[in-house]
Amino acid sequence: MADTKNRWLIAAAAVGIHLSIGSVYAWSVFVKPIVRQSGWGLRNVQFTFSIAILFLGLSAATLGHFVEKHGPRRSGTLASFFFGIGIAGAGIALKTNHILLLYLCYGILGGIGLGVGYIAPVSTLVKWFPDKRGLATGLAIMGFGFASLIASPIIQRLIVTVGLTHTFFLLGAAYFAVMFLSSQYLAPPKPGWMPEGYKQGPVSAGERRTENELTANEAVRTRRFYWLWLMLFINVTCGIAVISVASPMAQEVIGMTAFQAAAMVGLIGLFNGGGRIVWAALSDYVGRPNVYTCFFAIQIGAFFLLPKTSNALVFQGLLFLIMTCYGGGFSCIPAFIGDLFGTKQLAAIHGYTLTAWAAAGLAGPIFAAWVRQRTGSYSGTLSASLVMFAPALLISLLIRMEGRKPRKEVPQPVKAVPESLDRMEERTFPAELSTLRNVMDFITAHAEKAGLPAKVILRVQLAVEEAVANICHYAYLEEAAINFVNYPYHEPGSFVIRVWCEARTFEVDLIDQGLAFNPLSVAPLDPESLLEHPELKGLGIHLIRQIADEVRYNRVSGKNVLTLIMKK
Amino acid sequence: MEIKEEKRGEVKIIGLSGRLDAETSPSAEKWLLNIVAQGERLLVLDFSELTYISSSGLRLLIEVARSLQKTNGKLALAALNDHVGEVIRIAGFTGIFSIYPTCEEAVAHAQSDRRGEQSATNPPIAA
Repeated sequence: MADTKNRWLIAAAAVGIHLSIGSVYAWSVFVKPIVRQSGWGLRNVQFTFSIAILFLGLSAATLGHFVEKHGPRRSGTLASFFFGIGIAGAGIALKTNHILLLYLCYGILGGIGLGVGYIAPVSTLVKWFPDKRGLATGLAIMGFGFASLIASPIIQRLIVTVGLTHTFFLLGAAYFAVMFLSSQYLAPPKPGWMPEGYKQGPVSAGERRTENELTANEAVRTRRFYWLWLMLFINVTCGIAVISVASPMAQEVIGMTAFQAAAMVGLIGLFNGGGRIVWAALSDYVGRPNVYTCFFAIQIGAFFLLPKTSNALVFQGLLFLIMTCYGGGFSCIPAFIGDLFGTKQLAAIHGYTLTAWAAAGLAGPIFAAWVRQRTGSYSGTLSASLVMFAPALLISLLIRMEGRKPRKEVPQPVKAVPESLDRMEERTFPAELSTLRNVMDFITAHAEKAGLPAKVILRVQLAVEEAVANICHYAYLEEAAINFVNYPYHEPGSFVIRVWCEARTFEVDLIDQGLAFNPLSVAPLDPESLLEHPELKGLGIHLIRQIADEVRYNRVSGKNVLTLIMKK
Repeated sequence: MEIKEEKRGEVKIIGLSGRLDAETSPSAEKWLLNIVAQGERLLVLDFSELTYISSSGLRLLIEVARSLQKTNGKLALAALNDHVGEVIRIAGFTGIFSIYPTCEEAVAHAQSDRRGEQSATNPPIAA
């Protein structure tokens, strides 16, 4: 069932949900009409938005586990009820003239719908697009960024034609319908599913390893989680700060007219949304840490230059550039989390991370106002942001060096069974090609001790090398799926080599915890077609089968066990 | 892995010594492709000092052969030891490469092919 779904339709469903909930950013369109109709204070009405964002953060942080447990379809359905009822409820609040009901409906219920609706499809997308994590989640989060751009004119039109109360009812029903229908298509792929053409390795369907994937509770005990959180927090805080000064600064310092400044603010939304998809797609190619380093390096430059320019075009260019980084900071986060902690509990970890957004949503405006008061100038706000970007840049560089810790007790380092017992010896190696020399030394020493002739030793070496290369390339494929430059984010998996002697044979076990794969199931190599398929798929396995006297494969409690048997 | 270069007439002889495995092949491949990129078209790989080859070494040979194909160049392998010969045979590569027992023979054939005295469609017998 699950694997018959089209993953691009899944992506479309995710975009549908994000286009709905992203309309929260169009709240400002509601503010003046509400004040006019109800007589509530402007600040009180604006406060609804802050409640919604606060509950977005809270629900994302606390309901991530719910999303993991009940899956994206149920979570999305739940979100559509919360969000739809929240918005429609705002209409009732207006009709009955209760501002607390407005806070409860749009702020709390809507905010919960926002939080759950935000994380539910994203974690599913990451699982469907191991090869294009950034692009896929960028698409959805771009939907969030563009939502207000689409919703604002529609809302303005609706308020004029059907009135404020009915606008809320209509919007609630429409967003509920879009979110509910989109949610019904959401489902995670079957375990072990890989996109077509991505099965570069001979990967058979089977269980995917779950070891080394961090749970949310483990993730929050790592340093890198807090670094990620801080990077997002700084990026959002400074982004909000610059948005808050952009319009007045454009008018007072650059000399733009109010109309030009308003047009510029509209374009900000465009670059915020566009930056989300562009940076996220780019991150698939250059790696997530590099993208964040770019964000902070670019913004340090732009924030430095912004107060120095008096040219309207340069000013807007810099501002738009900053906005792409602001949006990109959001859209690259889910894929980054997938890279750092695996996809097992991505929704929960993503939810925790989004508290940085909620915190920045509160801190950003306060920070901007405080700096403004202290320094009395717009450039003061920008300089203060500049200071904050420096540690963020440093973090984006440091995060590359973090190991993926803490790990569950993955294989014991060296476990040598005394030779007198059964002449069996085993050792654990990291699953990376640079370990090959150590493997060869280990194998050769034992083959020599077993009294194998030099010619057979070379054959043993060959068979073992091919098996090891296979493990390094394919067994932990999900790890390598991180990006196209194979940036080493975290420690590779490991494998165990066990050697022993029988009366007439020398035997080697290679044990890995990677994707289930039986090399003996691979079709025999056709030498005729070798030159047409320059990647020479299956050549290593072909060599193993030809050179070893016997090859056996077993899948034992989630582990691949390949046994190579050489006659003495 | 040690790589020696020698030019004999129009033929470039490259001696590879040691092991051609997953660890050493990438740098050796870069070296060889660089030589092809410099315009060398007649390549003889002297394997007399090569003790070991694995599939990554075989991939390298295919890559070099493919890049030589583009420039109408030729690749010959010479002086294979038992192990290297066995691996090339069981991989089914004997029909793809010209293989000679000694470097001298490989060079002689390469030069005569060059002059068009002999068709290169039939590679000589495997070592």
